[in-house]
Amino acid sequence: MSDRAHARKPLLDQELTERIASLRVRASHAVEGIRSGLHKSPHRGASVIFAEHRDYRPGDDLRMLDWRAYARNDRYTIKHFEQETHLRAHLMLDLSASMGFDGGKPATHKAGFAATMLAAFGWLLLGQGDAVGAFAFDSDLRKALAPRNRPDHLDALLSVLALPTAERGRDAQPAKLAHSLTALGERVGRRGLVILASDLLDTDPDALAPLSRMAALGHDVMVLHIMHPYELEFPFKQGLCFEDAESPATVEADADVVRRAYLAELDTFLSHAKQRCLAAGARYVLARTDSKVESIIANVLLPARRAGWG
Amino acid sequence: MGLEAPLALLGLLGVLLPLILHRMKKRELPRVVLPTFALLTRALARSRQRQAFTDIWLLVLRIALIAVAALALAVPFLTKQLTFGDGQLANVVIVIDDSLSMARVDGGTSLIEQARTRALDVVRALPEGSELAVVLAGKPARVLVPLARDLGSAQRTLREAELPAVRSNDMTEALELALRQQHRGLVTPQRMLVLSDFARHAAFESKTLPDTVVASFERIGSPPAKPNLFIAQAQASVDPARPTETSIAVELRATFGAQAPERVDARVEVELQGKVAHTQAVTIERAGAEATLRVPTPLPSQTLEARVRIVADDALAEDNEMSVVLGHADALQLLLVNGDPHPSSRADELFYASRALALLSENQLAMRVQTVDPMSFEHARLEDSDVIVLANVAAPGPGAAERLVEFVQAGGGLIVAAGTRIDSALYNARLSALLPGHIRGSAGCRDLQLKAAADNNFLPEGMVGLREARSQQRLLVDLFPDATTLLQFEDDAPALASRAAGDGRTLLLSASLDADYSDLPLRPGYLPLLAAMIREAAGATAAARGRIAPGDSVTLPAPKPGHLVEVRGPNGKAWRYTAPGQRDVIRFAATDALGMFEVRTGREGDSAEPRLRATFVVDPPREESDLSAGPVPQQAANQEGGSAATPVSVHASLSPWLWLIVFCLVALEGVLRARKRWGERLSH
Repeated sequence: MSDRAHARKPLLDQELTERIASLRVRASHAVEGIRSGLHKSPHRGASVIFAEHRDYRPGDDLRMLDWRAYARNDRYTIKHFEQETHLRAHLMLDLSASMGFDGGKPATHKAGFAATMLAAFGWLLLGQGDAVGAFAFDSDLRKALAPRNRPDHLDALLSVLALPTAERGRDAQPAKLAHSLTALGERVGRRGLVILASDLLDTDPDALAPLSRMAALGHDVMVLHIMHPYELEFPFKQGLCFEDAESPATVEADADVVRRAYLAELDTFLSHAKQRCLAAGARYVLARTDSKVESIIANVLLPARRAGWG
Repeated sequence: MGLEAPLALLGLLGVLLPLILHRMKKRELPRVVLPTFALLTRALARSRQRQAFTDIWLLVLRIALIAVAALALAVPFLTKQLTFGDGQLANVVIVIDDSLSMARVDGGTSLIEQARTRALDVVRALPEGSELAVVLAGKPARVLVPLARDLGSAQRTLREAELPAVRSNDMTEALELALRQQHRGLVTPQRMLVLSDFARHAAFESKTLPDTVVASFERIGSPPAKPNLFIAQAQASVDPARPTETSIAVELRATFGAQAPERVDARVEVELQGKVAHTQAVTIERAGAEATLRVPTPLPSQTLEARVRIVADDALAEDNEMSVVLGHADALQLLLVNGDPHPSSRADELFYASRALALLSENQLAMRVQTVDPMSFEHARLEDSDVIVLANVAAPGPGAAERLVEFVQAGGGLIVAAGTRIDSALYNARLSALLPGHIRGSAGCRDLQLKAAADNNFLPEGMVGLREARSQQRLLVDLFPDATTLLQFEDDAPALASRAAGDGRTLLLSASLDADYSDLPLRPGYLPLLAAMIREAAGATAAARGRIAPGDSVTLPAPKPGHLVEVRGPNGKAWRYTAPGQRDVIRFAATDALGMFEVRTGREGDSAEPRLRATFVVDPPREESDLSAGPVPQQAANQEGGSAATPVSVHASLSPWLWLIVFCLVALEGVLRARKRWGERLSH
């Protein structure tokens, strides 16, 4: 494979950034921040978006008193506005052994594609002033970067996303999503945006349970399900010896014969993954590694704008 | 079992080829990393079973294919013991003895059935293309299966043929018939197989078979361990002292085997109308025994069959019973008109004829004979008679002549026998409507012999005794065109002529019934001639009377239009004849059943029971009751070697069958492969 070759390729090139420059990432629901920004805050504050009226109670900020309403009704009424805050985004990159698959085509490297996707999201978020942090994990947490919104934070972010990819090889471990996501969930802090890029290949039925806990804590969770076209189409022919990417196990099979059953199993797997994500309150996006990054991001963000994203 | 090319078995090593290829194919599979390995293993768990099943079957099939092909190349063969012949094409004639002695049961099966089974084995042992004929040796010998190459049809005929085994034996004629059949064939070698019990009576003339014929003689069954009892004769006669009782004198005989006791206790009984009327214990020794059974005398209008039987555990049951006809309701009514009675019996016109008729009545023809003189004849009731014989009668009176014409035209028979008293002019004047010709008078001649008329089958066997007769005097007759000559003098003058008139017929004998005109009454042919004349005059009605042997044919009267003739056999089977066509008589040959046959006549569509007209009894042939084992003829062999009946080992190659299996395996392998490919195409 071409881990090294992939490492030499920059995660973000000018062409990609130009294509996604017009996009904006917005949280689908309120997130907590310490600075004002594009995203709705659970706190009422100074902004131009009207939230509600309520009767004045002693102790309320008199600046919020709606004098026009007092003039009309002769009642003290407090006028609340939505507070817009900046976003704390956490990019989570699965670097388990199965993510190192490219099917002989470096351009479709799963981990590389996922890193590029996350880097693009990070670039967009940093560009709109949000704080972005990153985690790289396989069976355990490998690298972490706390959220920052400084403009020079992008380099640090890209180094976190690119470095583990370059180091992937003999050290890569099988995915233990439940363990890794639980550990990450403890680090993400107050409500924010969590973007997970993973192939979700973990046989543990509770692998995605931590996502539910993150959503319950108020995080806006998005799962980018990274799948290689070979995994989705099973284009192999005749008899082959298949090797597991995360274990020394092999199996011989006639690809032509087993294709139908495999595709049925895959369909079941994708359906279950989507259902579990949706059930956890996360947004699910299936990302083929032979697709264009910008088109996937656009597909994610443009419909999301209507639903609250973007 | 053996192999013709055992080295070809090395080809069995080829079974390793599919195994090696299978292993190599597995080893050389390219390796592919697949992250969704877990999904693949789950998918394989579902589809692998079918895949493995197909693969394993393909592997097994290919191994079997190579193994069977190698075996086929080795040309395996089975050593088969042929029951007959050497497995090569042959012309085979099987002679089966279906005489009465073959009805003996040995080992739970009758000998005739054992012979049939053996014959079927022989037919099955013959290769297709062989010629086969089957001849039955019961008298008269006959061809059951004509010589042909259709062995399947021959088997079917042989299997389904009724072989009642009641006849006497005619092995000599059967062998001649078999030879004639064999000579019709084209295939060589020619072989003959004779299946018989070879009892003493089954001997045949050894010169019948030429030395060139390869004949095999097989004895069917083992010699009987039990003695055989049989009824030699049973004769019924009304007791003169008690007319209401009829005595049946039964003559019993026995043949004893080498190990059988010299005397046997048995019971003899008579069954009348389904009930045992009388029974008697007897002890039968080598000299035989006699018994007299008594039954009620039937009324004159009744005719009853009495079945006399021996009740004993003997070798052959079929000859233990004989039928006796009681009463004479069906007897032929014969009216003899004695034109020259004489106190001295030898000078009497009917001296010879009466004795001959008495013998006929006992043995061949049931008759009730009434003798009258010419004066009494003038007033006799002619309707009660079937046949009237005018023996040297000068001439019937005008009234009697007129009634005679009516009698004959109504179906009666008239025999006019020559003599010194014949008045030819009166005969010509009064009976010209009946006589076969114009009588010119009597004339002397010099020891003229008799001969059969051309194109006439009258007395086919009796001429042997007639040719010795010499005539010194005869009637000169000018035959009418519608008359038929039955016998001729050697100068071609008619000796016996016949003419039909109405439904009856008249016979004119140019010789006398006594010794005045010729020495005919002293010759052996006299008795058969008399019987034949009476039968001819009475029409075929009289033909079917008396006792006959199984297989003999009986001549029956052809029914007139609108009438029928029915024959009822002893086993309840009935034959009905209508629509006579051009035939004058019916030859009834279904006499393969022992007992009394009834001949009845009636009108078609008439609900009334047809009237009993005659009976005849088929007796078991006495000679068949001697079951003593005779010698089995030596088997003949010619230069083509060996006896055909000697079991021969032949090799039956299994290769064709193995190649057939190879073909089937190839087809099956193709089907499995196609099925696998079809499954693969579906999965695409």
